[in-house]
This record gives sequence, structure tokens and C-alpha cells, in this order.
Amino acid sequence: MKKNIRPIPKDNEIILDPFKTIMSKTDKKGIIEYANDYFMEISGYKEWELMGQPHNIIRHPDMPKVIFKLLWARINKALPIYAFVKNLAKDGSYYWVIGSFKTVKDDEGNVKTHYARRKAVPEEVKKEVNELYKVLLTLEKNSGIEASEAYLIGYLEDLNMNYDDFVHHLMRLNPRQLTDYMNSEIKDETDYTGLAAEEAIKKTVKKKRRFFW
Amino acid sequence: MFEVEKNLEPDITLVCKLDKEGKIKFINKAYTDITGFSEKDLIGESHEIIQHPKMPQVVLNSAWKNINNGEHYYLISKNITKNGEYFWTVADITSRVNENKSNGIYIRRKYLPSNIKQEISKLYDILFGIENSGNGIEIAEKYLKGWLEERGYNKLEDYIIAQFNGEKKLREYITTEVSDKELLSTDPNEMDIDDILKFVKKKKRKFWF
Repeated sequence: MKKNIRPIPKDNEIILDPFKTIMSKTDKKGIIEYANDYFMEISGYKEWELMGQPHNIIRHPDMPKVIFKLLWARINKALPIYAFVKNLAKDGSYYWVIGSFKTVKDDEGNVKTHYARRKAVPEEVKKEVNELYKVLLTLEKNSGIEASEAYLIGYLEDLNMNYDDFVHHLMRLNPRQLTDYMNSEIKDETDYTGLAAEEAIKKTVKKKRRFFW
Repeated sequence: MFEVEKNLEPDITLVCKLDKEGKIKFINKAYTDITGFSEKDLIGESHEIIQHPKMPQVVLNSAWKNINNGEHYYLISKNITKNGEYFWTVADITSRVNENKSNGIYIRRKYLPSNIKQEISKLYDILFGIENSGNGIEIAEKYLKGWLEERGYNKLEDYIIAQFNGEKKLREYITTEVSDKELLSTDPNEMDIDDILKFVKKKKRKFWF
């Protein structure tokens, strides 16, 4: 197994094309089995560098651990969840995604595979999430994950929302619309680079999905 | 070595017959014409002799595992010529193990249309890269599975069949001797599968397969 050298983060954001989807597939431990072309393009890695590696190779140090705790608690029960994640590219740049996760179990009911789709996050949503994550991260660094978890619970209670409502609220989309956005892919000749996720959401139409993804 | 692509004409069919161990027993004239290898070079040799060194092992292993008696298996492969060129083909592979005389594996190969070549060539490069970076073949196998899943397929063979608009069309394409002048005057690199299939008509086959 190759030794991982974690990139040094730098203050450079990679903006995603809102009609492209970053996809990956990992085993139950989070080891990458497959990642699509767009994953490579954005993260800057080559397939041979990523396959067989733990998915946290792209974890950004600005991410509060409590978010991953929440994420894994859900996906290990094969329950769906969305998460806003700041990721780390190979060159140290960062990129924001909203990820949706799906877990498949084997015949004995054991978790076998995790599938993830990730899309661009609208600018204003990024700002709000970033503020919350900064607080969570500071608390975590000073007082540990119990503190950030307690804060997150209080934060949601104050909004009178559960976590899922909170995601929909931030995205300004109902569950159906968010699903459509996560699944949308436009493969025409138009260059959508630089199109804001907000605009992409408006253009999103329902699309039938193939297989697991 | 193997940097220059040799373009195959769409009417050329490379035929070979192997024994169960993969040793070459028969090749047609097109085979020697295209590859530059003589009968003397090839007969009795392993079929790997015309295999490009960067063919991913995971693809080859799966082919050998899936060549079953009486059934057809389809494989896209990158091949080489004696003087160091490469060429892409799509192959129809069948085997017979029960009949006395025609015991063996039969492979018919045809020119691979360029629109199909693009995606498969990228995939093979990735698979070869994974296999040869200390990751091992299991990781490449998993990557291939995910790649196929993303596109809605279970097996690489199903993907190939779909690129040719179904098994019937694919088999017709490979078995038909195309000799249409209009087709032959077209630059093979300019043609995609839809162009080629227009010319494919069912034709009575000459000999054993």
C-alpha cells in the first residue's frame, strides 16, 4: 500500500460545474473502489492514486468531525443522508459539495457498499454552512467532539428543525426538488462552467436514474 | 514501441483458432497480412503474442473465465503487429469442446469503430494503471465493476454489446464480410458504429463459424 502524503491546504476554491456529478463507491470501511471522471478532474488525483485508498484522503482539516460522526451513524444503518462537505484536492485547493449517500447491504444484512453522489453547493448556502462549521470546529478543538455535538443539537433545536429539514431549508428546496437536483445531469454542448448552482437548480428537471447511482 | 496505430479496414476479418491452452492452431490470410507475423511465427505459439502489453489483466482474465462451450463472448482488445504498431479490434469468441475435429476456441476480429474506441481505450489505460501501481488486480476489478455500474451494466461484455446496438447487430457486424465500395473508400477514423452498421447485411457464412 502506498504512503499517503496529505496535501497542505491553500486558500483556493475549485468551483464545480453544477450539472456534473462527483461519484464514488467505497467498501464498508470507506476504501475507494470506484470514482468517476469528474471526481478525478476536481480532486486532481489519478485513478491509480485513489483506488484502494481510504476516502478520507480528500478530507479537509476545516471539516468538523461531528459531521462525519452524524454521516457514518446514518449510512452504517443504510439510511439516506445529505451532507455539506468541504473537500481537499491534491494541490491543496478546496471544493464544496453537497453529498448524498446510499448504502447497500449483502444478503446477510451486513453493510457492503457505500455509493455517493456529490454536487455543487450554491454560494449563499456555502456561506451559511461555513459559519456553522467554523463554530463547530473551534468547539471541537477546544473541548472535543461532545461539545460540537451538543452545540449542533442546540443549534437545530433553536431552529426547531431536525437535521434533514435543516439541509432542505438551507438549500431552499423541498425533498423532491433536492433529489432531482442531486440526480440531474445535462450532457449537451453548452458550457455550463461558472453557472451558479442556484441557476442550475432552476434548470433541473426530473431524470430517471440508472442502477444504484 | 507500439506507439503508432495501424488502421484496419472495416471489411477485414481476422480469424484464428486456438486450442484449449490458447496456442494458435490456425490463422487466416488477413491475420498474417495485418499483423505481419507469418504462419511460422504464430502456429503453436501462445495467442498472447499479438496482445498489446498494456492490455489490462482484469479484462483478459474475465475473457478466459467466460469462454464457455457453445456460447459467444465479446471482447475489445488492443493488439500489436510484428513491426511494433497497434490496432484495436472487437472479437467474437466461441469455443467447441465436444466435436472431434473442430475442437478449440474460435476468434473472429473486426475493426473497432472509433467512437467506441475512445471510451474503452481510456478505461483500459486506467485499469492498466491501477494494476501496475502496486494496487493489484482486485482493485482494478473493483474499479471496473464501479465503472460498469455507473453506466448501468453488470459485465463488460454487456457494455460492448450495447455499444453495437445489441448482440444481433454486433454478431452480424463481426461475421459479415463487408465489401461495399462506398464503405471502403471512407477513412476508418471518420466512421462510427452507426455508419458501419448501415452497410452490414446478413451474409451467408463460408465455413465453420
